Amino acid sequence: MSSVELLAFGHSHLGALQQAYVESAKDVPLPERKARFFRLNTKGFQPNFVTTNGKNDLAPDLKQRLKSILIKQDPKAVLLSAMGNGYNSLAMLQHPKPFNFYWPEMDFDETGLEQAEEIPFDLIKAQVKDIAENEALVFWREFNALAKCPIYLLLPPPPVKEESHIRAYPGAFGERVQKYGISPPGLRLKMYMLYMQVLGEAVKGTNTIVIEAPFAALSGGYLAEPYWAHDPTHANAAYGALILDDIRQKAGVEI
Amino acid sequence: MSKKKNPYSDLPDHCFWSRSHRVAAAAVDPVVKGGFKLNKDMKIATAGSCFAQHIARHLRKSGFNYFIAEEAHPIIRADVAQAFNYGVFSARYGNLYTTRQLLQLVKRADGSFVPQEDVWQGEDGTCIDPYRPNIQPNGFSRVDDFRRDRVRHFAAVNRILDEADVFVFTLGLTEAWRAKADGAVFPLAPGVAGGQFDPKRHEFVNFGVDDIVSDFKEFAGIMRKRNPKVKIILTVSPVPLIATARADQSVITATAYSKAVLRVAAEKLCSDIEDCFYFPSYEVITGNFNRGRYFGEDFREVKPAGVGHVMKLFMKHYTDMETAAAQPKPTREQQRKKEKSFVEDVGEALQVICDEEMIERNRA
Repeated sequence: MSSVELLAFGHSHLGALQQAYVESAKDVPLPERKARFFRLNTKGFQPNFVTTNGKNDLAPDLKQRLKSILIKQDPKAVLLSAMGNGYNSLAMLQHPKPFNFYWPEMDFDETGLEQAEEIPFDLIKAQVKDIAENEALVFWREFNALAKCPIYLLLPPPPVKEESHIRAYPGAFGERVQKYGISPPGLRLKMYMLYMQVLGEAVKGTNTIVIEAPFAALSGGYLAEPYWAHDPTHANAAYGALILDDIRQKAGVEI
Repeated sequence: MSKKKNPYSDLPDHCFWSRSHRVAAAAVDPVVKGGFKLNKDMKIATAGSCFAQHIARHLRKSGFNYFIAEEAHPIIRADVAQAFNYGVFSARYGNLYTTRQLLQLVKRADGSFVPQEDVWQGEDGTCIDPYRPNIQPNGFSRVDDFRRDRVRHFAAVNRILDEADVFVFTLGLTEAWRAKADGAVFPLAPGVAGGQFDPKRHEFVNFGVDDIVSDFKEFAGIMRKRNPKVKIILTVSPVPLIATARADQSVITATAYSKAVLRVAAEKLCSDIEDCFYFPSYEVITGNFNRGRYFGEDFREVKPAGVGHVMKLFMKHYTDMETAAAQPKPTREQQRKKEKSFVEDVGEALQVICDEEMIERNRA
């Protein structure tokens, strides 16, 4: 076994953790660090997918590379934060034909979309699952097959409630924020929770532990202001630090 | 010396095999005259058995105003929507194999019939709709969702009754299973795709010509009362029964009987109901002239060539264009794609979903 305790793989949401880790381990020489971060959106890991009839599979070269890394490093734990913004393609911006869905577990609806078209719960869940199965879960299934250690599946951070912040930092949504408008926060929160439920159900009964947003980072279910990044969907390094603490505790890794 | 006259002397060519139908199979045309011409503004609704799905799909692709009263929101990808049976028929009723099912559906939608066997609920809370058991994967996750969805579904059925300009119905089966208590007819026997079969509560029925004629007339009366100008096209599904519940019969003879009953009923209905026309897709697919070539290896599935032949004749006799010459206006799908540019849009899988297959699957 190598001295590496945690291998972290992921896309943009991993940035907050990486930044936090670099800050916390700044006095530790690089070769001695107990956690390694692999950003799957960087050139060395591209392309991520081969797509057949609209369905994604991991590219053969990427599969090989991930396998080599896992065998060579033999970590105590794997943290996976692959993709995670897929649900936001439906949730973040206001669709020209506004929609809502009824979720019996939620005893309130603060979407303000009572007059919008109601999408049946099973249908919207199937759509969110379709997105997850074609994005985040493609990575998870590969890691689940390869990793001999527990996998910690990091869910994306919850939505930012305040529209003004999203307008100030529209990120990848750019001009589309102006074009479509932003979905009511209640809908964005519901879609986020549905995405969490879909991922949780997919990994149930496996050697994967779901890492949710820490309670301390929440404000009424939304991402609390101290953890906002200059971006509409990503969290900052302070949020990353909270997640790292959670991982240290749950995985027993000394990083 | 002039030929002697007999009752056949002055009949048109289509009355004779020798004059009209000894041609290449693909050129055979048993349609004498379409009942009317469809135009692209007419809202065309479809219902019935599996074969009606082909008609629906073709009309949609050809740019006709295929009426979908129950549509998935544009954020739902086409393949997800199809798995939930959106767009397969004009509303999410699934296959309506018998006219009794059709009649009971409209009565359920207007509230005049409430079956005692309302929902099949599993121990885990999931619910199967006894009257459309395969309408979505794994049924409804909760009874709340089931009931909310059924309200939407019935609203869509009512819209079809009120707004359709043309209603195409494919008669599929005569055999069915029903509740003894109130006669509610299930598309599949309880226990095949949900629920539990109980001989004390459920019984087999094989509808005869009179039942079918009476049911459809009652249905047409209900629809015409709300929508007097609606035109009706009837077809008989050429797809053989997948199984018969009659232990004393082979599925082959049971199929022959069933199709004969349906065909006679269709004839009677078209003579008794105004603006109700029979379209002979059954004859095109099953006719001896094609030597069985329109059926797949399993002797049941209708091959695309057969569907193509039927639809070519349908377009020829019911529209002002043949299939190949059709210049469709933007289809509903294309319009949806515009809306769906909001999210990733993909092509739609064209798959006929025949939940009758469940009978056979359950045997494995």
